[in-house]
Amino acid sequence: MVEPILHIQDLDVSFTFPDGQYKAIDSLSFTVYPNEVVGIVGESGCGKTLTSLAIMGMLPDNASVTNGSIRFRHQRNLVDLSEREWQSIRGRAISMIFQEPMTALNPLYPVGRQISEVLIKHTKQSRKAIKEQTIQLMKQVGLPRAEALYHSYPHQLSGGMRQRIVIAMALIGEPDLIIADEPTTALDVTIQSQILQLFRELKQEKKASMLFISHDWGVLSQVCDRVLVLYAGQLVEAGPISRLVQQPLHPYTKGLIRSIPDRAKRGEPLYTIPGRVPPLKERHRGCPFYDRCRERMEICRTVRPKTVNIKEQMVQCHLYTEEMDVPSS
Amino acid sequence: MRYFSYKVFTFIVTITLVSLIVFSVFQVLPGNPAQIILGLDADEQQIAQLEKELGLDQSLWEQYISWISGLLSGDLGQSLKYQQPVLDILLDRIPVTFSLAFVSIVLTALIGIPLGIFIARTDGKWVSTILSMLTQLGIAIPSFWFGFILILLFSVTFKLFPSYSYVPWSEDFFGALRSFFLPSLALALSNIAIMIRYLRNTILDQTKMDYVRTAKCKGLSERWIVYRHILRNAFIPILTIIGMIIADTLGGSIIIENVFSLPGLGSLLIQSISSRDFPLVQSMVLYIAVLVVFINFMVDLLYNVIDPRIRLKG
Amino acid sequence: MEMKNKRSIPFLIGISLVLLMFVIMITSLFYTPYDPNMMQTDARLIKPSLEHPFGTDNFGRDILSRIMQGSQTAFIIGLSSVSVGLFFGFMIGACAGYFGGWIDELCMRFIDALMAFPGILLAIMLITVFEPGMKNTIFALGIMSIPTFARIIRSSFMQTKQFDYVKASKAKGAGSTHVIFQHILPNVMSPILVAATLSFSGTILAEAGLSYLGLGVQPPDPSWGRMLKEAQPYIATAPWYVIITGTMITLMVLGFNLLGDGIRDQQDKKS
Repeated sequence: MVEPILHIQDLDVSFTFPDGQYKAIDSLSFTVYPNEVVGIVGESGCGKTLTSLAIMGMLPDNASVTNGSIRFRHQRNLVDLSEREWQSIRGRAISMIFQEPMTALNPLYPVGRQISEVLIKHTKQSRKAIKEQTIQLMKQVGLPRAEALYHSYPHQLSGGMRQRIVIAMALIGEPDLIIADEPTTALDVTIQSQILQLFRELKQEKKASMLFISHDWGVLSQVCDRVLVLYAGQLVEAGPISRLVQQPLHPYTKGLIRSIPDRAKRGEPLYTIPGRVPPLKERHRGCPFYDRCRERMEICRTVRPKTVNIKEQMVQCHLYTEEMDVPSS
Repeated sequence: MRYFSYKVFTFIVTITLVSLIVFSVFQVLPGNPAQIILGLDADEQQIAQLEKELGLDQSLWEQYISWISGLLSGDLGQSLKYQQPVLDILLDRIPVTFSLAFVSIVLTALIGIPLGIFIARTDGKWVSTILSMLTQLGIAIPSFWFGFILILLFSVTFKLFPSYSYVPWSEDFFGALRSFFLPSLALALSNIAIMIRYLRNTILDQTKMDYVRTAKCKGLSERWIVYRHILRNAFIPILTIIGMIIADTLGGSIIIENVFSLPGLGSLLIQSISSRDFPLVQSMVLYIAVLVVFINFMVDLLYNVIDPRIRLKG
Repeated sequence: MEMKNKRSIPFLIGISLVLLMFVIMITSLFYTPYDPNMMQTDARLIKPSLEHPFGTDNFGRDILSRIMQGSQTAFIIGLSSVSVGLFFGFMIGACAGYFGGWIDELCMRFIDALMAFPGILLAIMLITVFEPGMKNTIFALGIMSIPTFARIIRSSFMQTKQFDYVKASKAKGAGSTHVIFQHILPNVMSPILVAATLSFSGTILAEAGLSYLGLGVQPPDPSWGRMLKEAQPYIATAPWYVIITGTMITLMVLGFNLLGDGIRDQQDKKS
């Protein structure tokens, strides 16, 4: 049995408002194994970013983990760490890449220094060694003239270059887990494919595990091994990316797959799942997708479905039971 | 470059307008200025003499031009009361006012910046709330009254600082520092309060920025993030109020010098007003105003030097 | 709910202080414990006592009565100066914002020029020429507050001009005055209210400074600033005179500042 890098068990994250507490992440459990890229997909408001912030210990002030555990390499529950202990984990053991390369960098510092800062914080190497290592990595992530670029300010770089800087920043501490939150969404299409190429290369070379958050199945299928489908804070389906794309089980996943633009369906209006993700305060006890589901039954309204494992896939839906084989749809 | 020339252009237009305002205000002096200056019992001949001295027999436009060209060449005319060139009198007084302003601004920075950072870092806690309330008080207290209170406390009650004695720097450095300390502190009070409030707000604004989240993700401590990342960004908006603080300090020194009997520009101004030495008043007002415009102009330029986003755009 | 209450504590303090000052001012119109100008040579610089709660000054005048009467001056000067500043500020700001172009540029340079005179220097200059006194003090302090109002009004004119409904109503042939009253005034009211409240306190501070220098309100009009000037020589022998008078100025200024900030915070929350 391979030792998992990250193991999340029954995680609840709740927001505290003046009128009460509301669960934004509801009994989330999943595992990430070494050298595995796990995608998280779902519409906005489903808790993708919140999950990653919980793993980084950086939840907003009014949110907190109210149940469950986040274990990193089988060690202590990260939820119990003090702020000081968190600081030794962040950037070193777990690092994060954000969506907006335009604002993620400090505008007043040369980019090279922003990368090397991670090593200055976490290691005791000499400044010179750190700088060399930084320039080395900058070259590795595909930045030309890295020596000169080291002293550039963020506004002098293009969006794609900035995102490479942000990626280098996440890699330099040689973390075991990298969380990438929509790392290509803010970039235009050609830059997007270059950055994805970079991610694929890194996956080969760096042997790091990655949580890759995106709403774009095209992007996910290029880098991910497995995908988790999140809906309204709950894990509704998980499985290998190819299985999910070809044989989605959960009606929500089916809807997501159907709404991917496809050359074969050119000319037809693009499918969208009717309705919207229920706001935090309007979630009920049954299946979270009940309101929008095309295959809903009476039981779905009141009883939350159990998770069911069908071959490599896991689904949380009343349509399925353990004994079932994959139904043909 | 275009930005720079626009700034120079507005600078010139503004000081021209300032000089026109000062000039025309003093034109409005009701009655004959020479008569007013000399008083009612002056005879015709004296008045005619003074009119000629003041150039009042020329047209307004000529008077303005000769006044301005005099100012530009450093010839500020004669003071009526002191019977010596205005420039000499000013040169005598300027070091006092500048020392007062300088010490006051240093105090503002030394007290205001650390407290501003402290309040921002303890935001939401009761210390922070109480200190914020106190800054409101600091803004509301009249600086000259605060001067009285300082005199009452430190000179009258505890006898720690001299109250009404001026020691020049050349005579005794520490003595001078002592004689400037209380007036500078009185002058600094409201600026300290403004600095604290402004710094707190900009730091809290910066804290919400994405780059702070990135820095946190690197595992940097809150302290590291505040001092190495946020402060540098927060100081750029702070520059905007630096110009205002310097101007306020110059304006406030007029009153404070009178409270502490410091022989600077402010006390000279008030003396000149009561002795109706209008040429001196006119020149002083213009000089102070032009100085303020100039400082704001410099702050604008400094802005561009400090912020690489503007600096490198050229 | 708790947050909301917490925020408005300074606002409540502000409004209470302003009300307190207002009540003192109204009362002084009908009643003061003593005649504020009555000199009692045998009762000079008496410490605060039951008879004279704030003590007496160097002429034996009752300080409480004089403070009460002085509040009238503070309110008159505050209100009138702000009105003067608002009137001219509105004219200049509206011209700049409405016409734009070089007129705007000229107006703004004029505002910059006014702001070049730090603190009370502009007022000092004007009063030097126009003689000290209540009327000229109001006028001078009013001019000092023009820039604040002009800037607010200019920017709200510029903003409102951009809105489609304003363009549309202009296209429909609505007159300029109509557009201004229909659309711009309601938008500009709240920032003006905040600025007016804050200018009020600024004016009171400036008046105190001017009167301290002997350039503000002249006798027999009472003024807190001049009282401080009179109190200064007795700072060691009659500290209460200085302390009480200055505290009154501070409380008045504090009250209006807190009120102004409070109004602004509430507006920010609304939007």
